[in-house]
Amino acid sequence: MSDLFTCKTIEELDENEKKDYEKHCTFMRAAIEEGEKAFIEGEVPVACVIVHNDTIISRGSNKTNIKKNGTRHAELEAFDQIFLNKELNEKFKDVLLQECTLYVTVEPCLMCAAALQLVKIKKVYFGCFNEKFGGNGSVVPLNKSELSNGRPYSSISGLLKNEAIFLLQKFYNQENKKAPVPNKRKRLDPEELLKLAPTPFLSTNLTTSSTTTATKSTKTITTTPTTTTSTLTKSTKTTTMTTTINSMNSEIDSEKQEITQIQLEEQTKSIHCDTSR
Amino acid sequence: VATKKKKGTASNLELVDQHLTESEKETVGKLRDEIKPVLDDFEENGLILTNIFTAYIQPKKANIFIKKYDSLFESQEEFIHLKKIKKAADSSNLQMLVCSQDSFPNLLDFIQCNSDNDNQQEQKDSVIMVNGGLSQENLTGDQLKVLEFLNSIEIFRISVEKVPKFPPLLYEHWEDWNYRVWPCIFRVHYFSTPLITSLDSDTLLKTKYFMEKAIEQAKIAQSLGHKPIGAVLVDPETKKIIQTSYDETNVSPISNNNQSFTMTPCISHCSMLIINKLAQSQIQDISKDIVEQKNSNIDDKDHAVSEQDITSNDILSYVNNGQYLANSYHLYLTKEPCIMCSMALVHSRIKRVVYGSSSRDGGLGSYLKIHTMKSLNHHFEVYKNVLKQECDSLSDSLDAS
Repeated sequence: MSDLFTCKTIEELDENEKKDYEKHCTFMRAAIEEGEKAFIEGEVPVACVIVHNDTIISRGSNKTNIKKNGTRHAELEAFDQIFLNKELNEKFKDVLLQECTLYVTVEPCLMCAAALQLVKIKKVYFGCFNEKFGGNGSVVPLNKSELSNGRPYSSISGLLKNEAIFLLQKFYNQENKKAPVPNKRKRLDPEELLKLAPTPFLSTNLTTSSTTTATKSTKTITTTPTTTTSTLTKSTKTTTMTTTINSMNSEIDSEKQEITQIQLEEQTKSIHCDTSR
Repeated sequence: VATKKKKGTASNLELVDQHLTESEKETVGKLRDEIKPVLDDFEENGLILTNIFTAYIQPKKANIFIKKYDSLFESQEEFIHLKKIKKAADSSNLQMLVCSQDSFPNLLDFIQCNSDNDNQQEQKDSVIMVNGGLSQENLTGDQLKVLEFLNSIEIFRISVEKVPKFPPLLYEHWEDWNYRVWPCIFRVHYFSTPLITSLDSDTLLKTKYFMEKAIEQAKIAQSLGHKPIGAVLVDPETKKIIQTSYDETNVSPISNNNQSFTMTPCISHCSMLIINKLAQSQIQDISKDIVEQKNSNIDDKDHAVSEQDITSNDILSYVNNGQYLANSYHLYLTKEPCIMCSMALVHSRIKRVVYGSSSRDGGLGSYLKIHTMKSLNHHFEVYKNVLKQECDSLSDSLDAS
């Protein structure tokens, strides 16, 4: 039974399944557009569309911040758009989403993966994997599990993966303005650094790296921010930069001290029982 | 020693529980037998044995050999909970831990036995040699290290012994294994969910009280034609109920068309609803606060701001110093939450979940243990079997229908 429902990547699809590739891309692009909106709203940019008979019937994006609710993920928002809408609810309340396909930029988390079974979704296409929370293969392949009141579904990964990752990177590279305490593991925005850096060597160095960011594969995108900061520590002599880095380092140091303090306490707590009799 | 210790703790409890009535004491006793923490898999392990090679050595040389062992196997983590030396049962020698049998299955092939020597006594006390002539080509780095170690010390015999594979997490386990199996080191372990022995009687009585409230919710649901599953969210500091909810996945035949949904019906499990209710009330609190802040800056009463004027930007930029999601709250449920709800509770940063009856595909103990998953960014405590009988009978009526 469970072999029927797979976790495949888009490359693993056979020719017959691949012929609709352009169509799937169109729907995923619609999802990414929703994600762009979420990004502007200040939400983690994850978004989705639900498609029935080749028409988008619902769009959803992450609303965890505005709704003060960690469970308001894009998928649940999209469900509510269907089932809290009088017209659509009439149409789908009995059959649920048995004939619908979900296109979501990031792999559904465990919660959404289980919820997708409960709404009896037919198929899921997603962009990038969610290694820490993903419920379509990353942590547990919940789409293949036999859950009560649920219906297993097939899940296809890697559709417009790079676009989805780029959207997330854009979000995580910006400073978290809402963070109550100054963020200890602060990432510096390359563009902000550019303004701060007066030395010509540095600015050329940075512009080249930031232009490659857009064109190169996803792996370079993830590493870029750290490499820029490390080159900065080596090369800049500007007072502003060094002071920021120094303050960051001191924060890291104090964190380390905290950790060693905790470790010491734990060591003293642990009891070594002598067994020599 | 063990019985003495047990008596000691019992009398301590009696002292603490002096303010309780006899019937309350009885209830607490029952609850202690009934409630179970839902621990991480490795925490539930009892004694699991594994085979190791031990070398018989002279007691005098033990210290030197241990130093050699430590310098060779610095990063060895596997047997960090075991002492390296044990007194041999059959001679005055000591047995020293060498390596696990799995890591070097054919170690004994490399040991040269002096079979020419017929004198049993002499053989026992003579140093054996580790054979260097046998081909060492296929050996791993660690295996070569083991041979190097054995070559550098004087050993009389190699034997296979059974030892505890994992560290003892409870003092009682340590006491038992240490004397009966192999000398162990005991370190205090902080269980993912504190054991029942560490809960005081008042907490247990409150736990029962709140579970009764959750059952009440389940019964309300039942009377409305919903599934009999109920929940209450509690602030353990004030011991007050913050929110209540019940399962609303069945479209109630009683309220029929008048029923207004707050979310997609087929996922309206009580945990999801209670999280939604909490978020809505928090937004209301925030809105009130923003209105107050804005109006305090305005003298003109005609231009006073009302809650309708608040934009989403106001809410987003509001710095909340108070309650964050369900952080520090306890949730009581009549039935184990499903995987969706369990993960929703992770997203909501819940502190503790207490449930009555388990369900086949539950996410907190039965199908998965989402609250202990290493990859997730939040972990919480889970207790089960509180008022199990009452909750089970609710679930049975659910299965029957």
